[in-house]
Amino acid sequence: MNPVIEVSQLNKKYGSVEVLKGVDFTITPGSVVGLLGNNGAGKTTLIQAMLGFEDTNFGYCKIFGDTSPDLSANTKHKIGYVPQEAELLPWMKINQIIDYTRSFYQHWDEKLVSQLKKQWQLDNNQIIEKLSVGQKQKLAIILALGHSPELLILDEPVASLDPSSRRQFIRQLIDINIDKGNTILFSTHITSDLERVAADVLILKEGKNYYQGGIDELKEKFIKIYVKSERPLPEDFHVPGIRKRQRIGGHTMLLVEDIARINLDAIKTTYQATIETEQLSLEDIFIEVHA
Amino acid sequence: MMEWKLFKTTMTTGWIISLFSGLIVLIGLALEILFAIKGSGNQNHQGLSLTFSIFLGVGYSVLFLSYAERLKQMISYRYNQVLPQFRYRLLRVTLVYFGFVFVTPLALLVMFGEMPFSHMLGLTFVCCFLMVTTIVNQVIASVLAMVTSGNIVYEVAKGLKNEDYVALAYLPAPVEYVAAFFILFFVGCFCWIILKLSPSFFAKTDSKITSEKAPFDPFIVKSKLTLFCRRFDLSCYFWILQKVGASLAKPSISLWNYRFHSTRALHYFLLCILIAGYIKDVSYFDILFGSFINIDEAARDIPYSVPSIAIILIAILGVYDSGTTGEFNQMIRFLWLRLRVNGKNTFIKKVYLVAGRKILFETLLSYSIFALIILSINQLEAYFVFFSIAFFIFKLGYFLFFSMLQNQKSSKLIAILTVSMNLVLAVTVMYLFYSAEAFSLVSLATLLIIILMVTLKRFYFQYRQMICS
Repeated sequence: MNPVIEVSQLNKKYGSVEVLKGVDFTITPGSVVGLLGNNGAGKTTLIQAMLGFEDTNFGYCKIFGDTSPDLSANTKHKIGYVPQEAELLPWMKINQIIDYTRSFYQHWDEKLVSQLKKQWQLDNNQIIEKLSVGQKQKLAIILALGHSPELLILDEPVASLDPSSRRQFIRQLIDINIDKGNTILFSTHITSDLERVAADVLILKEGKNYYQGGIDELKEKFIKIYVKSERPLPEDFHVPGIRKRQRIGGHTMLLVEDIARINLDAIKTTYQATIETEQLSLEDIFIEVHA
Repeated sequence: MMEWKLFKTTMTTGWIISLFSGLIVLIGLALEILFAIKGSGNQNHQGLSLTFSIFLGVGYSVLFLSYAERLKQMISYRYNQVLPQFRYRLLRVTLVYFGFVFVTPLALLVMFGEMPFSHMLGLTFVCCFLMVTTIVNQVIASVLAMVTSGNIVYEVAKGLKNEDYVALAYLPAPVEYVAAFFILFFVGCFCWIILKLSPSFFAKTDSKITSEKAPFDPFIVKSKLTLFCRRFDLSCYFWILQKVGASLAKPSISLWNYRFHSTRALHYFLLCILIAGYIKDVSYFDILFGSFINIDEAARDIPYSVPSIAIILIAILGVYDSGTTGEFNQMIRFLWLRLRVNGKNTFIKKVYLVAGRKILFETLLSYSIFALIILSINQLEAYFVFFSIAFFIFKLGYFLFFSMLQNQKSSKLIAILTVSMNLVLAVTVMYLFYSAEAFSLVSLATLLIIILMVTLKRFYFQYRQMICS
């Protein structure tokens, strides 16, 4: 199956600052991928470069087989994009900007647009300039969903939404993904939202992709191990992929990034220890990755 | 010292406008003195003095309008109120600032006989009026300004047509006394407004506080009237397009903005005055800008009003519709994924074409109005050619200024350089006008070509840049 997005060795510099340092990843049709990373990790730059808003220094990005930024009209119309800050025309009323946006597309899902407007209490005659930040974001989401895009790229779309609107939006994304099999790339800092909607995650760290894969696989790999033994573990005790080691009372806590590489039975036997494991939440993993 | 901090705060926002209008004022003062020394005792002196008083009036108006806007913002922020004696200190700072930049230079000019007292009175009246009305409501300020100036123009026009008619005779006292009374009244109002009115009053009347800031201060709301006026004609055009069933998929719509609205309003305003003048067989521009303060019969024939009107119009029309590049990025970002074109290059060509067409249309419209006004006050071909070239020089200068401001890294430096360039041009235009010969036209044409080349180069680089930075 051809990937919807294919990014290879993507490099982007702003002056002497290297924001993206050879990012590689692919996204297959129908998948929902969350894009995680600290502030300044390069999430927005990556999205902008993929969509052709930003030039790159090296590498390439293909969307539906077209190399960015030379995207064909057909490809562009398959994309729905919600930027971090809603880019709207402030003098227009809500119905005017919807009419204006609709005029560019051959297909427009009037039912979905009306339903979302109603759900989010957006009135046709409200002037965009007078909307709150959250309302503008809701409108931007509606405009991005209106033409039923095959690929949705969302750059922190829920940051300014209230919790109930966030829930509704997440439910909407799930419906879109399940009903139509659309692909979604979703950048956010709210990991709980991500866990609700996304099966896969792409973690960017210092301009590089640190991890790409399933959220469940990531959780299975990143594990806290509590070792309780008769005698304390020696100073030079080492296991592969250890990220943190801490003594808590009679226990030693080990945080490992790939439990498959560790022979737990050997530790048990060598140190006559009992071992307990604990899975981390996505948020905890995110914090540990960036610690 | 808190006063100094307050002063610095009032100057940090909108500093380009302050710098630009401040430089206009400075150059106006310098030219006033220069020409006064050069042409003392000459008939031209009176006309020149009037011309530069108007020049100063424009500069001071912009300076004080922008200052009043910042005062409003400072008072509207509630946390400023906790500063000890904030209002009194702000008033003190304002009065010192006014005394320093306005009263002192004008008083000196009057004392040394380089400016008639009536001009100073007129300038003070205009500035006080603008300061107070801008703080209360911009829309009311605009309407009052239009009614007042329209009434004065009508009265003076009637007086010129009919020698028996005494202009503004309905006033209970001589014009100077009435002006002085109103100046005192406005100063009193200003002090009262600054010291007594609540912060929420200022927030309500502040049209520059955007809705993005609303979550941080729920008391800030934009007046419905302001919103209605700002977007009325844009909405009308869009509504007409919808009603006639025209395709809305026009890239140019994403270039529409509030500046477009105000430019169009200015065009309508100037056109109305022009047409009214043709109907009544009198040039309102000539009267408004050139003849209504103490001009004797002999001086009335001197075409001093031509340069004064031309300079004002060039300054206004030149700066007004040159801001299209500001909306260019907005247009690109809004349309990039929506417009049905293949590839980036085709897209960029398309949007450049749309923006270019709009700029050309706006420039030609402005130029047509400008040319009609100049022709209505003077038929001499030399003047017409001269000011046409000057118009395009200023237009390109401002255009360059706005397009370069898009590059945020060097925007401050470019702003200073371009403002300086415009001022040098202004001085050159003035100098060349007073030694008007074929040489001056050649010089202006050369300047025009240089600016054109720089503008094209800038566009070439912008074209090669990414779609949006």
